[in-house]
Amino acid sequence: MGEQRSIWYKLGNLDYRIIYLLVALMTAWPLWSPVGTPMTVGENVKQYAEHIRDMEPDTVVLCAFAGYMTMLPDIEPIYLATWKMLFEQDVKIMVRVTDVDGPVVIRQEFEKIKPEENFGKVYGVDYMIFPYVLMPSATEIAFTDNIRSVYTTDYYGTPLDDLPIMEGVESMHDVDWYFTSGADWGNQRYTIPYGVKLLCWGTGTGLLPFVPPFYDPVRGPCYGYVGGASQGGELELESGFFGNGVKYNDAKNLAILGLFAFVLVGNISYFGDKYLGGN
Amino acid sequence: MASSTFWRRDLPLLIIIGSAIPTLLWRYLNHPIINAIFEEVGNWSSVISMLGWGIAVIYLFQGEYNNLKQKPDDLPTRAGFYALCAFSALLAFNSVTTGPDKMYSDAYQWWYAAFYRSESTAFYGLMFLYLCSASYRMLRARSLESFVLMAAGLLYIMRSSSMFALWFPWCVPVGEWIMNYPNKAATTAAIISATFGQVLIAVRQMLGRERTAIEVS
Repeated sequence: MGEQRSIWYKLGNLDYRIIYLLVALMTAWPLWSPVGTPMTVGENVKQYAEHIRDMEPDTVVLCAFAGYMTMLPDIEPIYLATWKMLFEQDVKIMVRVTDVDGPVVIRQEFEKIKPEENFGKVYGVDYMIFPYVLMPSATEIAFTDNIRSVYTTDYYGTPLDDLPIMEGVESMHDVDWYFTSGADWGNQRYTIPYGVKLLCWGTGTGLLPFVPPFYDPVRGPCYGYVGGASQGGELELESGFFGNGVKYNDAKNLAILGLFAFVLVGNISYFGDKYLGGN
Repeated sequence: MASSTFWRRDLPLLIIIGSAIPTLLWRYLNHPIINAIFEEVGNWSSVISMLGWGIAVIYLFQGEYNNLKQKPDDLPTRAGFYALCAFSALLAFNSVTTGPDKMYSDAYQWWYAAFYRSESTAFYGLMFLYLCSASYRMLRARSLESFVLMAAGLLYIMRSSSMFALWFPWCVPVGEWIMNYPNKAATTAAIISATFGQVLIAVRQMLGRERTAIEVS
């Protein structure tokens, strides 16, 4: 009953649960016991870090914080390292929460960073957080033209005009840098109308394939970008603020090694079945 | 019938045109009336979006309830529906009763960390399992096109991995070239095409020819 399947065919049609188990083991192992796979820092990450370090005092920076709980492990190393680098500089940081998970996550993030204790920063003077407002296109256009048309208070309910950091900051004309996960949208809404420079941060899958058309470390609009946990680890290495990114980098490296192995086995089985399996 | 057409088609069309034209004009003209309408549209768009979210929640319950009515004896369906209702009621009760600092209460934070955060990140992490399984089955050199796709994808993955970048330094410039030239060209072309498409859809909506934007059946 049924024709005899060649070994090549069986190799190319392994039960998917075997693959899941192998991937899970390869990804989980370095999280329990870091392997210490070697790391190098990519050019885009170096440019990202360099532009942060070169920010002059009183530069106004707006960060679009997309703290999706789903993808937090992929982007948290980038956020934490970036904010620590920004807090090292004498810049004004405004954080805009862009998703429903953001209000809870942002608080957790800043409790980890401790800007007052570790960097001597003061809320309302050196940094502030906007509350979460669902912002479709029209609302964001209104925001960029006049911040106070959308936000009247900050995350804690303090009127914006009572915050020293908001003095003289009315629209995107007064903002110098914008951290965003959408290079296309950032270019359309911030760079072209207002000349705001972009630095892009985000997940590996959501950012990396789409940033290159906008990336130019000399002319912009995107002067640097960091995507995914592994580049977050590279940023930690570059900045010296080590965290979970290095550990996640281990997991990613081993997972990619596994992915390579699966693709190789799949192709070996395909050609073996095609040319040697008699089919 | 005429009144139904007015509410389902004509009124949404009027709202779209009334919102779209000032938004377009605002980009090119500086006039107090246009600025005022534009600002009001901006304020209302946030309200309308939140309303949309609320309606989506209602549709969620409606869909699950209809599912339950179709399969009343199916245990997973019944368990899923009642679990959805129970969790929703519990969260609503918790948010109402945990005091002024509701979102940062221990109870809410426990729910957030123990259920929502764990489930969300696990769900996202599962995607990689599916990716590996799909890569194993689909990324095979069956043709020249599939070989090129596979090779380009693997080269960029190698560039993304710092371990490969150290063992095979050549993969970094090759991966960067793939990302900055072929991918950049194709992505730019796609963005330009999508932008033209967006303009076309917007004009069609204003002319009332885009049914998906003005009628819900």
